[in-house]
Amino acid sequence: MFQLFNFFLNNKTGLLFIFLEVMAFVFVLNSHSYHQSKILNSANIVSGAILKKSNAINDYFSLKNKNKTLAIENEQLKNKLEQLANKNTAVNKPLVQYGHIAATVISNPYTKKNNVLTLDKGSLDSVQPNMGVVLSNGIVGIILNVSKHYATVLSLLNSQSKINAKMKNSHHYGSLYWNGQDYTKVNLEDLPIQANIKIGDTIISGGKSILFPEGIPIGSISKFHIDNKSYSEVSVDLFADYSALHNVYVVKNQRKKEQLELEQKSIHE
Amino acid sequence: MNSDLFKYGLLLLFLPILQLSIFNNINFLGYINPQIYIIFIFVFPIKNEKIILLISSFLLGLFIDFLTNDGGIHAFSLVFISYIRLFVLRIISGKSDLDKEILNIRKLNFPTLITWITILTFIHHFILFLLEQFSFAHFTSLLLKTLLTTLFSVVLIIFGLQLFLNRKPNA
Repeated sequence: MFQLFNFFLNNKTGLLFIFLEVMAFVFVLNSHSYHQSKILNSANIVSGAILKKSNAINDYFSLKNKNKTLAIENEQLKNKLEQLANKNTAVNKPLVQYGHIAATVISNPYTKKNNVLTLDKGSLDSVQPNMGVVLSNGIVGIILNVSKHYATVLSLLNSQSKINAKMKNSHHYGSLYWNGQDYTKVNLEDLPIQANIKIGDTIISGGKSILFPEGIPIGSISKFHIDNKSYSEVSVDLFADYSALHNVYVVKNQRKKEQLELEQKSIHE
Repeated sequence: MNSDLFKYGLLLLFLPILQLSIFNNINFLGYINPQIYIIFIFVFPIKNEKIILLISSFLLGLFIDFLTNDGGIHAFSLVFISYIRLFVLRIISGKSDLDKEILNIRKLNFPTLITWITILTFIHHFILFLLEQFSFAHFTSLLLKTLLTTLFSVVLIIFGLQLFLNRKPNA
């Protein structure tokens, strides 16, 4: 032991080695805190530009699939529009609550345990931290950091994510977690026993959080157990293919400030 | 010396781009991505330039972390194997004074070369994936991932070495 100690002290390479390793380890620790390291993330101009280039190359190989997904999405949206136009709506919303900013995913390392995506839109396109990111058939995550032209997203497929969701046919709420294993599945937790779920039930976004609009389909229940009069290991098959994320929408909640202020006020009273 | 500096400086920029644009998108069996950038450790000449090697491997690792949002896991594992690469080579080849001679990897016999690369790659990948998941849970799947990726990386690195070394036979 002493020899080892001596060896490191008499050796400037050894000291440098220890110094560099400690520095690298600090970066690792830093990246595991929720408000990620501001130094090393891909929402900066250099790595953003490189990721964008390499993404542009990969894009050519998957254009066909992406076009197909977009066509399907267009079709669904058109159908919805028609339904809405036909409906004699008495509801007059003075302001559209949610605005969408279309963005492209330029980095999606879905094979990792803790996924952080990079988008090609940043503060110049009015993307800000803590906005939701969605698909037509799923939730992608929450914006972490932004630079002028790029933004990083804490994916739903990240152990630090916890996203509010509910059953489509009842109003019971739960939270979505990812167990880090399979990118086609997430777990639904904190679901009350009264929810009375069945296999195949659809899960949609909850609307309890101010980040996401209510009612985005997320997935369907594939298996669950009942332990001690509560649900355990409720597994949800995701509708969206998280290995092929490309066109996503950043959700801008126009009434976020209003809601937050009101809630803040109510807590203080 | 200057041309060497230039060559390895270029490699330092080129490897992360290669890793990121091609080898991180392979996703063999869904999750196996060979980490070929560690070839840097094997082609860097073995003279008395340990400090330059340590610093440049730190920078290389950091650059990759920077591009992949990985904190410092690549930097940590790359610096680790760059530090131990001579100890490992000494143990495998049985020679004790490797530092003093300017060792050329072309002069190594093939079995020694392969063993050296495999051992270092395995250590690198193990540290890398351990830091990535940041816990000892799912240890068998970690080990399996390390083994499979090591196999994949070693094959590609050997191919890469052949290319890199044959290009300039007079060096």
